[in-house]
Amino acid sequence: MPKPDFGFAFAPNRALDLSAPLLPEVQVVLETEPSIRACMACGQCAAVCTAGAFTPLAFYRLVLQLRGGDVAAVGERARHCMLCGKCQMTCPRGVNIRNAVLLMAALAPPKP
Amino acid sequence: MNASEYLPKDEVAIIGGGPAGMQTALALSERGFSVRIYEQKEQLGGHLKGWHHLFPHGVAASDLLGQLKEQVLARAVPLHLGQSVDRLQKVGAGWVLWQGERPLGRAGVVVLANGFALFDARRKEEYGYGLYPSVLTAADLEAVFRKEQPWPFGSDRMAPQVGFVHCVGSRDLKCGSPHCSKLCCVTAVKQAMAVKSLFPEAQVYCFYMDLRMHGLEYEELYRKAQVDYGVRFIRGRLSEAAPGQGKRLHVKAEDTLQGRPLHLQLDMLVLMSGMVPAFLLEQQERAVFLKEPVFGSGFVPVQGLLAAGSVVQQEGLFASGACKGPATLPEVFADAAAVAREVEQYLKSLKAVAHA
Amino acid sequence: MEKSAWFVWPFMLGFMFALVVLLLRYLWWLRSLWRRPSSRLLSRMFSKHSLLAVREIFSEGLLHLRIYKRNRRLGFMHMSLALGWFMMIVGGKFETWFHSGQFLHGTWYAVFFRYFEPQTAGGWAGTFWLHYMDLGLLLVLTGLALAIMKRIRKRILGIHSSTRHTLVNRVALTFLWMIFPLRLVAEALTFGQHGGGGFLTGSLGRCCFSSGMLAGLELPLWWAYSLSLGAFFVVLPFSRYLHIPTEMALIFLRHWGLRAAEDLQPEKALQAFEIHACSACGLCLDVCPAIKDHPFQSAYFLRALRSGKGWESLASTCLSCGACEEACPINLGLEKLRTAARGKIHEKHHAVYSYLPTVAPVETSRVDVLLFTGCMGRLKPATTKALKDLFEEAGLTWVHLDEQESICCGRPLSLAGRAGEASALREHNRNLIQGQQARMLVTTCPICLKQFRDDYGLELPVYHHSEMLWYCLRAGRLKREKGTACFSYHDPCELGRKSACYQAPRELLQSCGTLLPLEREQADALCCGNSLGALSLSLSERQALTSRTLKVLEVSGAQSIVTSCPLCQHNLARQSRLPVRDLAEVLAVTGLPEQHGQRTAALAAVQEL
Ligand SMILES: Cc1cc2nc3c(=O)[nH]c(=O)nc-3n(C[C@H](O)[C@H](O)[C@H](O)COP(=O)(O)OP(=O)(O)OC[C@H]3O[C@@H](n4cnc5c(N)ncnc54)[C@H](O)[C@@H]3O)c2cc1C
Ligand code: SF4
Ligand code: SF4
Ligand code: SF4
Ligand code: SF4
Repeated sequence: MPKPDFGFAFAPNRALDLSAPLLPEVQVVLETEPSIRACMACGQCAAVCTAGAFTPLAFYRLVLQLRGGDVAAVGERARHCMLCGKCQMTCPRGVNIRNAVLLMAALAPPKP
Repeated sequence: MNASEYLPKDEVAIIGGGPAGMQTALALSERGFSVRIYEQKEQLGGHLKGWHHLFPHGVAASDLLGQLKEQVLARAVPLHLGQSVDRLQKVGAGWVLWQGERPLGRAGVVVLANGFALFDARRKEEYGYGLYPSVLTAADLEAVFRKEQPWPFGSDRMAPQVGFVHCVGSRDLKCGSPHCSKLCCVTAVKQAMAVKSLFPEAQVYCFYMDLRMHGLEYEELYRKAQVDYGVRFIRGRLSEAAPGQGKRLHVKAEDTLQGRPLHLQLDMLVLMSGMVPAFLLEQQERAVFLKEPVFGSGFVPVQGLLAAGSVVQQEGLFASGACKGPATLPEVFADAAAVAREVEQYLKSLKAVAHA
Repeated sequence: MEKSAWFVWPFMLGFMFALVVLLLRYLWWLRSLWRRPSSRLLSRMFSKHSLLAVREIFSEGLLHLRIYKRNRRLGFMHMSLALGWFMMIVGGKFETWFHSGQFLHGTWYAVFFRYFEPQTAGGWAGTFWLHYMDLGLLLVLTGLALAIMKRIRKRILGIHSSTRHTLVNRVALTFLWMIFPLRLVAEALTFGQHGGGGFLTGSLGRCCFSSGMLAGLELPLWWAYSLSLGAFFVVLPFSRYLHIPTEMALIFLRHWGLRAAEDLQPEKALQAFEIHACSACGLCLDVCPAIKDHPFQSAYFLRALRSGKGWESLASTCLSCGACEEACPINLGLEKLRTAARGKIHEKHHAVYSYLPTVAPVETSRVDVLLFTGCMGRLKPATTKALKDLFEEAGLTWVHLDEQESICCGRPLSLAGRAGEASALREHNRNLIQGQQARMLVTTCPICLKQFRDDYGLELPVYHHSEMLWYCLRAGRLKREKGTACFSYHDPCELGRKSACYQAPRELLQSCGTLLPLEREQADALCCGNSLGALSLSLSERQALTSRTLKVLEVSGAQSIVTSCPLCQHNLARQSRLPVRDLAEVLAVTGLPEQHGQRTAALAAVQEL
């Protein structure tokens, strides 16, 4: 018997599906720079971000989005980073942010 | 050398006359042991001396301290004020306490109760402590409440803008403090409410990473601060403090819940400096040194679980209170009772051996 | 040639093989030049530059003067091996010419000359050649003895670490070590049997090898000598001994104006020669701040590049502190190679800075100083404040360019190998700077300093604040009196080794207090551990490096540690027991003369807070 559709199921592209496996490219980034796992989303990196004064770049958001599998968006955003290292200097968890950003930026579709 | 010859009559030496030291001394003295307190300062009280009122109920710190001191005096616990112990030497089954080259006393058991130190906020230069007069630590603000220090803004400011920064020198691997100081969150809430009661027009912001309201009635305090006092809690970190308009500070931060940077002008910035180890235990042959801590060194290590007061690998050496890690006063008092019981068992077992 | 000469063939075959392989490899490396010969290269080839190259080959390829300057025993080892062998090759040529009256011979003739002509014509010249050749051999054997000692006990040669070798290199090493002792014994035996010889081979022959019973050993020994030579030549083009001819070729190419590429091309042009010219002398090992924790030092990194395996992680962890480049006796462009490698790893990284606001140049009134404090400078407000106080004291006018917002100078991107991506940032800052009317640009950050000086092509001079304050002190605009303060000074990598600024900060500190000597300072200083060069070094690894650096700085008597880089200061201060301050902070409050008494009191009050 077909399931009745009451028309108010989760909109599939709204919800994160945590039971789906991590994308392989996400896994590679997390494995190449394991310190990303230590991020606690405190926001220190964004508070000091040199690029963040001009554009919505916030490293901790990239980490959240990466885990959410939004790979293309992460790549596009990561390209805005200047690699200045201020965030890495102040991150209380010692995340290697510059290396992480380089790896994330490579996730963007290749430049035309 | 005959050990029993050196074993003093059940005497316990307590290093540190703060809340932990006093309470442990009381518990042991009530059990009938002879106890002595060695305190480096000229007065008992430890950090409690510096606080104005206490969370969660706002009890005056001086009242509590007064009661504690009264009990210690009533039991006539011998006090060695102005004596700082820096070395413990194992002799037989007991200890000799030293200050430099001077032996201070002898005891069968030593209880470390020398507490914690406050993180030196100057290490975080970007927050401007020591550079801008309107940047204070939580301990400084207690001194302001106690009227020992003036407010950092003019008396004409009826509606000061005040910011509290949580986790300064706690939860920060870069500063060598991986731990949470666990009571600065609730202290910030307490202090924010106090500022609001003194300056009802004030705008008060707390910048936190996580709010750790673990204790009895802390969560209730947090809700009260939000609802009744209008304190604003912003989940995010400060980047830096810079000179702003007039005598104000210009502060930038990230609001992580909105995902947007923010900036504001403040009349006072309070840094919740964390609790860090006050000393480093260093074992050398038959002596234990109490040394200045080095980067990343931890609190006194204890065996844990049923032996929460026994210092690892040191027979006859116990630790009580905040020298083992961040603790609130109720925790310190409960711990003191538990440590006293552990000490009692140890001394009894020694006696049994001596009889046999 | 009367005697049987079959035994020369192993040597000849090996030698020819090496020659052909070398030629092919070099031609391959230079393929792009063949296709597009550069006129600059050609014109330099036939000029004094070639003579200069020969001179350098002599001083570095043979005498190894730079190694000698750093470490006498090690220098002597390298010198005796190279010079001795060179003496024998040249001497052999002349000796055969002298005795046969003929210049051209088969290559083997000079190599095995003693076998073919045990008894040569006498006279003083003949005797000279005999002793001369023995001297060459003795020199090589001394070098060999030292090399063996170095393998067994490094300390004898004054070093703590020596390169660990791969299998091919160990095989090559074994053959190399066999060659000269075999030659000694073969020659001694020949002389023992037939008489004659120089002070070494002749005497040895007479005392040990004159018995007729040994006659049958003569030919086998010469066979063994030839075999070890041949085998060595066969492995030479595939082992680190390729460095011997490659170093010479590299010296020529450099003098002819060839420059290393920005991107990684380990099998092409100058980079190929650089990578293969490393002799693994090991001078880069002991100077590396991370030698105790990581095997990423240049000798290993170059080896990984040669084999094409594993260079990625070595390039990502190195701090780019520049200590090895400073120590390298053949001046290899190691930082450039590393950044090229990092750039290769991250070649998919493309930066986008289109969001940056456009800067409209604003005409401002003329000032003395344009101050740029950079990204890291924001974390150090005390330095900026002190510096502004000092400007005022010196009567200088200034504009703080990046007081509100800053844009990164671009050097961190360059260190990550993405220099090209930084052009938009440089462009932005250049517009900002060039809009202003100032006499000089002063920066508190040595990282910015390096980038501004090397890559911005600015019209106005760029100074680090230590240099500028030093000029003020010498010009009498700042006056300081020596007090009782005792400092230890940390040389930032980017200011010291990379910008050769050692004197200014030292003289500034000496003007107001005592500067303590350190175990490692100036060009030998250790990195603070937080360099932007390293990409994937973990926090705990960095902290271990920092504590080692602090050990050097926390000398007894030091009341504070002083440095002149916001990054170093930030990093050292979080971990140090002593206060860590910037030079400007120290100078603003220390050593003020009496007439400034009031100011001192005011500043002391600020410090008290
Ligand atoms: C800002 C702030 C606010 C707080 N507010 C509250 C609150 O409202 N409510 C609450 O429950 N808790 C509060 N606490 C926690 C409370 O202060 C601690 O729980 C308590 O002080 C711990 O007591 P202690 O005796 O273990 O250590 P301490 O108070 O540090 O006492 C240690 C004593 O040992 C002495 N000593 C140290 N070394 C030696 C030596 N070598 N020889 C001799 N003597 C030595 C010291 O001089 C000191 O007197 C607060 C903490 C902070 C940081
Ligand atoms: S500062 Fe570090 S821990 Fe905090 S959000 Fe950024 S990366 Fe995560
Ligand atoms: S390195 Fe990138 S993310 Fe970090 S502060 Fe600089 S610009 Fe921002
Ligand atoms: S109690 Fe709160 S403020 Fe203190 S360290 Fe823990 S999380 Fe930070
Ligand atoms: S640049 Fe510095 S860290 Fe890197 S290999 Fe050379 S000496 Fe070691």
